[in-house]
Amino acid sequence: MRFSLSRYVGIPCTLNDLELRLNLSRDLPFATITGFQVNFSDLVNITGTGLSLTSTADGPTYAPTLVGSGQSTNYASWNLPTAIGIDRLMLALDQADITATAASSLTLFGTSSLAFSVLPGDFNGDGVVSAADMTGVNNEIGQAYDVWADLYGIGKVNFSDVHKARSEIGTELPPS
Amino acid sequence: MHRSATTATPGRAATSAALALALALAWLAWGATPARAQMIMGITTNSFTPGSSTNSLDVTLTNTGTSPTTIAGFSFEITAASNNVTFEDVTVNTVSVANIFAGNSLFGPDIKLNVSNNGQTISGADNFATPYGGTTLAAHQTLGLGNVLFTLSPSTPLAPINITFTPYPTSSVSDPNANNISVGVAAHPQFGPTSVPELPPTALVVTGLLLGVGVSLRRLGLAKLLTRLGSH
Repeated sequence: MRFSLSRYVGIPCTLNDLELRLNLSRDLPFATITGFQVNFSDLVNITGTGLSLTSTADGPTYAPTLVGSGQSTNYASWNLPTAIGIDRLMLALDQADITATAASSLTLFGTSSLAFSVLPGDFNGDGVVSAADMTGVNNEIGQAYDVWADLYGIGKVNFSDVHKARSEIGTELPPS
Repeated sequence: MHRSATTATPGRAATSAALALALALAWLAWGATPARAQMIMGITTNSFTPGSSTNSLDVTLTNTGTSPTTIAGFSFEITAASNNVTFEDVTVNTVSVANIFAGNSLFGPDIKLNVSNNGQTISGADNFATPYGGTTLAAHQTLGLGNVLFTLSPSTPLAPINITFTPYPTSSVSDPNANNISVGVAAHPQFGPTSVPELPPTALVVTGLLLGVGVSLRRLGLAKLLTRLGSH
């Protein structure tokens, strides 16, 4: 079984896709990460929470909640009560909670956790938000879609994104 | 060949090494120093009246280099070292010099970001409105980033107030391609009453002499007048 993760903000692009296509060795600049979607290669049954999200930088405690029953599904969604702020995180699927519908002896294989960090407004992914991020997002208005400038995750880049980058100037990722 | 320099006594060599290390550490600690950066943020006082809420200063950007540089975005944050100061707002209406994005400000006229620290800290940021555009700062040219409005308590002494710029990334400058431009801060930035130029000591001596001569002449003239009056 494989799994992929996607930002649950309405953009049809998965975190794994981002990782593969854009070499995700950078933080996420999005201001509206309020959940995760996990796609499975087979139908699965999810018992318990199934997914955990933990700060690795003394950040807040996260309590993702499973959406729906989690039974006989190819994908599952978890919601967060509020959007993730500045943090370094570890997202992990609980292998004991997820089994194949066809045979409960089949469990996940491969990597079931993903480390990532979030710094809203960090368009250029350098770990700090400065005037360069504001300028960078402004430069993307009217250009071919650049997911890194779409800070609100609405599928396009507009002045609100520039405003967001500006309002976050001076923030930095916490030490790892 | 200055061989003598290499044959110094161990004690002197150790002292020299320690001095070199200290200088190297000082150099490192200096880091993003004002003097090395081509772009320098500074402060210009426009008005400073205790008890007034209509005071203002300009945060400026100077290109101290020898080549022109184009600026597309900036941010700054300043903190006043006095609780007599309450920062209120930041606008594009700079007084001492023209605004850097005059007519092309994306966020103006009000470019304030935040006020904190009981009004002693304020930040502002603006961007050139046109994507990939910017304003070119010629060598040695100074332009205004923002006009900062502030209130002074009535008990504010008529003396300069030190200012601290919050370092990068809070205070930062970018070029039209969204690259960071290294920026420093003017040495000992402060704002305050416009200082009255002090007279040099020689000028004081000359002034004193002239006053003395003047008084003497006046006394002489008065004596002559009294003599004439007496003769009549």
